[in-house]
Amino acid sequence: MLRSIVRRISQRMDDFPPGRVPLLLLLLAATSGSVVVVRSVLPHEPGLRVWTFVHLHSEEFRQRLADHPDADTIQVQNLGTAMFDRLALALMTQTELPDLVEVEQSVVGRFLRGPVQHIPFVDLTERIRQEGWDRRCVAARFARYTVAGRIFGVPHDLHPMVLVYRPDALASLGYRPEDLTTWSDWVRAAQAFYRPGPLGTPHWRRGLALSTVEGYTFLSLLWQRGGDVFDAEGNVIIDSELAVDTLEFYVSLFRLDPPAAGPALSSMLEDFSALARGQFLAILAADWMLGTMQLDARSILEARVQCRPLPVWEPGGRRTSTVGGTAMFIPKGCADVDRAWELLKYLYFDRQSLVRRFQAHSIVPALTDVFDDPIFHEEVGFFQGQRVGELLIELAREVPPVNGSPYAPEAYKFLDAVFPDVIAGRRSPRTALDEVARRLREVIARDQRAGLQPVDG
Amino acid sequence: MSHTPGRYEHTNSPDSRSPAAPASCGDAINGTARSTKYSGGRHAPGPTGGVRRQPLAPWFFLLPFGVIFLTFTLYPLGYSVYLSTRQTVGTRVNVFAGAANYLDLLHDDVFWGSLGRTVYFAVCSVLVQLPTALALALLVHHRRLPGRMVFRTIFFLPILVGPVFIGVAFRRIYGVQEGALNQCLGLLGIPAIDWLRNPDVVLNTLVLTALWMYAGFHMVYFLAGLQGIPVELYEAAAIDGANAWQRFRAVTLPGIWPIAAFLMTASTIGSFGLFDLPWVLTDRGGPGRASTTLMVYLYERGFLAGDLGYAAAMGWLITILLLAVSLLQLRVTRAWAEEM
Repeated sequence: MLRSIVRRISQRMDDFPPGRVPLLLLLLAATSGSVVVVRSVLPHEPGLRVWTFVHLHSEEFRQRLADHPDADTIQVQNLGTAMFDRLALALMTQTELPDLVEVEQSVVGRFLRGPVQHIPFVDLTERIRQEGWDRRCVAARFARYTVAGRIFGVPHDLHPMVLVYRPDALASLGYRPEDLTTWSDWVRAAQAFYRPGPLGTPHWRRGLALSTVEGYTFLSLLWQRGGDVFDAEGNVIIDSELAVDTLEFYVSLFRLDPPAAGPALSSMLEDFSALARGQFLAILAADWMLGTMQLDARSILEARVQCRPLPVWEPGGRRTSTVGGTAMFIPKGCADVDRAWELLKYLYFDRQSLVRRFQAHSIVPALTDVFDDPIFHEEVGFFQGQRVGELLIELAREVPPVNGSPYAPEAYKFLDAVFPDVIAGRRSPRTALDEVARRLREVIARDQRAGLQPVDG
Repeated sequence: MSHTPGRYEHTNSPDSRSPAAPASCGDAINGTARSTKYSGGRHAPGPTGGVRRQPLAPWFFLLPFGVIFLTFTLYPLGYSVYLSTRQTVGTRVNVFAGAANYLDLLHDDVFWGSLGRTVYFAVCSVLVQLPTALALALLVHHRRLPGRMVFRTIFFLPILVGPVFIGVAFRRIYGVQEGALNQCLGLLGIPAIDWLRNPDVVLNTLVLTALWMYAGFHMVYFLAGLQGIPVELYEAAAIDGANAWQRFRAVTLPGIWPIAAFLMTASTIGSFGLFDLPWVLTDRGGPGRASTTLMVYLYERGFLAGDLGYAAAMGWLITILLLAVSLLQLRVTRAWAEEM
């Protein structure tokens, strides 16, 4: 029976003028095309889909979801940094949208442009306030994901910064770390550490490793001082006196005689190696860098470094800053926002997960409830038995707020564009920051002319 | 000339009729092999007023290509023209901007800076990659070279490795202190060079990496050209007393000139599309703007800033520039070929 059907089909296929193969190819194309069309037209599967761009996060979520009652219907996808473009396309076309998505702070602005009602993420302000998450988390951390007073993202982390230094090198210079509290103190120590010589040679020594090509460390210092690129209303303030003064200080570290800073090398691992070789006295590091250091540079740095709060700008000043950060968002196309919100809390605010994350990667969560866990008070052998967790949670409440802006990605790009020239002395900090501010204002004005400014519309 | 429905032409070829078409009324009347080729609507009256069905089979076979061409070529092209007249922000908002994007581009110093760097890269690609590729081709074409098949494979291999992987791998090679390249230079007493973070050096680093990537690929083209030159020409030149340089100048170069001209144009077009190397190797066209190429800037504006309208306008401007450059290049290479 079956054989006769096959034979009949086979004969019919032979009747197709160009032959069997083109017919098969046509059928294949028609079938696959139909599948693609049907898939995009059919309503979303009943489950939830979570997108992230970090392997570490996806692993953490999968681990956490093992205990979730609906684990079978929840899909976690790590799409790497290509996720941001895919998200943009999904939001544009409103197809294949995730229900929850993690976005890095430096790129989130691209999704927050335009009138607030057109922002493609669900406004979480009421949920966060009603449930008290703004009080239970470090409130400053929400600022980055806030536009026109509305909160769109929940922060994954806090990323307080510390100074990682070589205690033996400091001692050999005759300094005690507890005596070095201000930037002026550290500049003196760094100058004493300096040894001339061409970059990369064993004689070459610099006190502090700072980027000469990108502005992120300068921004950390600016945030530490209470400055910012944008104010809370979204106005550009990168050309403020405070910002110019901070950049002048930053540049002076390379120009002092002897210099207090040298260029950070081409990768974090190279910086760690230089620290291990005694070529750097100290580097500025966020919590996640301490994790990377313990994972990737254990063999060369274990029990050779310690952490200190960042030097303060004036006595009693802020002892930390921040760099990097990620938050979770719910796209507006999500079919079940309530369920997505519950899942977000399940993934982000679970005590055991946050403890595991700190243990494995030194990432301090934004949720302060967990700070009483013993893990944050343990001695860490890698840092010569120092209670690094205690230091980080002590600094957590001092993490400066960073005002969010839809134009932040451009601000960072414009700053990076002028930064090497400032360090090389081809441009003064004043003219460079004026240019960054001018360009930013032009971009904002362009949107305003078209009625596309980020205000409640 | 436009054909109106019902109009027909007579041809003398018996093969000009589609096998799928029914016998024409004209044939039936005339009883000859003459056929009628219809050019009008689906049903067209024959010479006696009868109706003949237009063959559908060719259209049926063209349909898949037509659908794909319309969907993935014409529609995106048309949409990008439309988009270039819009100002877009975020993911779903755009307003009419007329020619504003094009006018803004003319005053955008970052665009012109990126164009300058792209042109520099393109010129270096042509001037460095192609002679190197030709030298490699001459080397592996030499009959007395032992293991030339192995060399051919080795030189060709880099193109099989993805540019993103190359970017990641070369970051290690170009490391300041621990990079293999600086370690080698150190052995020669040359101080370390910051290949990726020195704004004065970084563009040349890209040229160097692209040379490694593409020289072997271009070599294959030259090799094919060299293999196509008749050996008799070399023998005749040798009999005439031509030395190696004269044989190269008078036989090899004219023989491979069409390929060289093609590679020059292809390299230039490829250079204008340079994106992945600076994106991965130099952290999105850094330091500063030192390695920001046109495509990196286009991506930055379109996808990082979300201004797809501006990016679309930039894309069209680049297309026009590229067309102009390619035409100029073709003219120049043709003139050179005539001089040879």
